[in-house]
Amino acid sequence: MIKRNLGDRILVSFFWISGLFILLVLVAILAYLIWRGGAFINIDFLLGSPEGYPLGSEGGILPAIKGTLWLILLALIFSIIPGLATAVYLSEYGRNKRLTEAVNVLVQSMMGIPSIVVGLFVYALCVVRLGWGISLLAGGVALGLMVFPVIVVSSRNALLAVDDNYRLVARALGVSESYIFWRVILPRAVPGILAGILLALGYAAGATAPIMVTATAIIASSSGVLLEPVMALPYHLYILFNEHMSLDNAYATALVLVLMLVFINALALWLHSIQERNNA
Amino acid sequence: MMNTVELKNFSTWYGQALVLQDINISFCNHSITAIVGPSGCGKTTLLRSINRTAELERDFTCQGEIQVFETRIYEAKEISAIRRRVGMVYQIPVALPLSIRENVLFGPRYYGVNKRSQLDNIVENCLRKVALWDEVKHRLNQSADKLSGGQKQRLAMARVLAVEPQVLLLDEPCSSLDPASTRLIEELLEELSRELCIIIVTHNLPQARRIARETVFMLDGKVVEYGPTAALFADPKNEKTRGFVSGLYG
Amino acid sequence: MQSPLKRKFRERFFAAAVSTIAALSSLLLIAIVFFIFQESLPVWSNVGVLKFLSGANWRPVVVPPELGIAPMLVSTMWVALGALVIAAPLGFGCAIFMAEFAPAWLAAVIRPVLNMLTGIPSVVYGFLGAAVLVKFFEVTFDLASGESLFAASLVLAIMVLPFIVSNSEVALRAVPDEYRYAGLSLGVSKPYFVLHILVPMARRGMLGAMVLGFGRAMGETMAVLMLAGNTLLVPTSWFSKGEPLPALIALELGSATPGTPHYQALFAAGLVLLVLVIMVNLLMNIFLRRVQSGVNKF
Ligand SMILES: Nc1ncnc2c1ncn2[C@@H]1O[C@H](COP(=O)(O)OP(=O)(O)OP(=O)(O)O)[C@@H](O)[C@H]1O
Ligand SMILES: [Mg+2]
Repeated sequence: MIKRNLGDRILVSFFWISGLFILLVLVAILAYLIWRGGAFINIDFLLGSPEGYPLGSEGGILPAIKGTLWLILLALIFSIIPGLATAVYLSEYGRNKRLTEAVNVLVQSMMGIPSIVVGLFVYALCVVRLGWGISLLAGGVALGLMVFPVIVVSSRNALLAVDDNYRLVARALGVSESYIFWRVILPRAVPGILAGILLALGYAAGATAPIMVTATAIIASSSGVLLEPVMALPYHLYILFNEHMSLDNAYATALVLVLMLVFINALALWLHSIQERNNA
Repeated sequence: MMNTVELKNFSTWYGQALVLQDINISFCNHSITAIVGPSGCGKTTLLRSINRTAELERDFTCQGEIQVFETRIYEAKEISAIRRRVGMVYQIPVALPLSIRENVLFGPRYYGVNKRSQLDNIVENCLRKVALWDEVKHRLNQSADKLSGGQKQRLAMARVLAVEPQVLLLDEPCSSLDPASTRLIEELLEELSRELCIIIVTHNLPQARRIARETVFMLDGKVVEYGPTAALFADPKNEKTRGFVSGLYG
Repeated sequence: MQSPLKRKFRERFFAAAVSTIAALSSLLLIAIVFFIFQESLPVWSNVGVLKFLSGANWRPVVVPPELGIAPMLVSTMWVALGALVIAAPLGFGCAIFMAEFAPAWLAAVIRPVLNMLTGIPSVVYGFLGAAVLVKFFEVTFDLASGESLFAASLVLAIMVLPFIVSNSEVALRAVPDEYRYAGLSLGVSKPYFVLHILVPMARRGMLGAMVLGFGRAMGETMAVLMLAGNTLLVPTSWFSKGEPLPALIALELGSATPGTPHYQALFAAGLVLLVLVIMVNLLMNIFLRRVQSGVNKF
């Protein structure tokens, strides 16, 4: 009896510890980054260009920020429309169809493709075969491919979360799928879809592997020319650390990146909660 | 009296399961017909077959024939035209996530009505027909979500009436309503039956007796007996009908 | 007034466009696999599948090249399994905590925290692991360099933890409440009930969560690139250095001349990684079949 009690206590403590551990990890990461990098973030850092010798060991990260924004923009351009269309097919048109099963499985599997493999594919296709070279455009394609399944799945789920009875009573009036979709379903799903897009955006902003083989250079102006290499925040962080350029700037860059992504994720969560409240 | 809706040897399946078996029945115009029967006997499926929304379900198949005003609806090319002519109000009251006004206008706007005065007319007429006008006329532009269950059910009826159906199918429209709203809807139906063919599924036998001219008793996907309501309740021909109906008294 | 014909045309167009895009996008995965396969074709015919997978030497630029990815393959597996060994107990513990023990407000705090953790980019995890963890090992154990498969596993474990937790929690919550009442009314203690009734019932989903974590860990690039040590030897222990497949590709792709055996071998390595991950995903789909089948009901 006493033994069982002890065993139970140990188990329960283990559950509590593992739950609190998760909290601890986030707090520790944020706190440590702020402690090591917070002091180096200022206007000059955010809006300055890399300086010093080797270039980047001092100065700011503006080109990297700009490059990341460009990459995200391209990724979204490439992925939003096909992603939404696929989601709409899955939730509105493809009910009870064979193709739907197939698309679902394939998209789900696509979500699991390692990002480096996406990079590999785009490298062979765009950088080498199409001759774009290491370029912003190739990086945009790679990131677009990477976030496409994220957009499909999250938008599909947002659309499917809308009460099916709306579809039923509307269909019973003889109106078409697309009329129902535009007037009833889409407005209800917008917060969820936006949440998914934000999630995808964050995912693209943080990805390093696919762009380091397709798009990035150690130093670039990142002015938005499609066929030129760019700098990007995550790759810049990698270089700062790996090439021993500046540990302080690396911490500051990591902090900027993490704050950006935590903010994006929080926004996505908030939108998601709106969607859930809407369709409760 | 003209037969408005007619089913001939009509059977349906969900996958392998036979849900309706060889239904032969006809429904009269300008009257109310009630369908009664134990849960799961296929009443909803029957209604949904008549306005061709049953086929939205997975693995639905059917055989036989349904005619609505002499049109064979399962041979028609324009499914949406059939659905428009045969309106259906579902068991759960559903307000579309739009304003009250736009709920009523949901169909008409699709069918191309877009003159302001016409639209206003439709809203007022339909809401009056379902006795909702006085309750909501000051808040037509508010979200329909906030209406009560009974109000939503009447709104659903108004939404269907707005596309001017010839047949009105109602699936247990009063199951979630209090006696007062139920009474109100019954009166409306009697009113509407002057213009329409009305088929109503109900679990409430007194209700069937109050409003239906004819009553259909279904069991396990088959029509066991149908005829004038009074006769069916007072003197059922079939043993099973007697058993079901007598639940009313005993 | 809009003409019905025009509307009908527009609707048909919309439906056709949406269906076409869906069909095309499902081809995307197939296209990726096929393209990578095609690029790597000479390797398969010249070296052979078995020799490529089991060869212990990777000397792609000598003549004739030696193309064996066994060291990377072993590293990949080792790192990912290691991550799982660390993350699974913690992840299941946390999931059980959230589903059964945590006060509602605490669970409501942890859930978004999990999301934030998945949102942090892998390069940041890799950086922190390299700058903090590896330094710590070097100082504490007096090593020349603290990078190892173990360090990579540790960081990967943190990265896959949120996936394991949230998917397991879903599985646990999917167990109907009746079992909870029935189980607890027998008078057994809650931990006993959790271990002997709840967890077995949620077994499939929790296994699925683990498999998902494994797939992620195998495909992760930045963390292993920065932490595993990048040597081309077959690792002999968890504390050896190694170079998992993603790191190999990331490091060498830029320097491999297109058309050379080196370039082709990198694609072959990519294909191996891709096939591994897809297999893991299919496996997970089978585990989760029951959970997912509800999605398409009208
Ligand atoms: N989508 C579906 N897929 C498979 N079987 C179904 C489906 N819908 C209904 N059924 C089955 O068809 C039979 C008839 O169902 P239906 O809903 O028509 O019954 P009902 O008479 O309306 O019952 P109730 O009075 O409870 O509403 C039931 O056995 C039911 O399980
Ligand atoms: Mg029913």
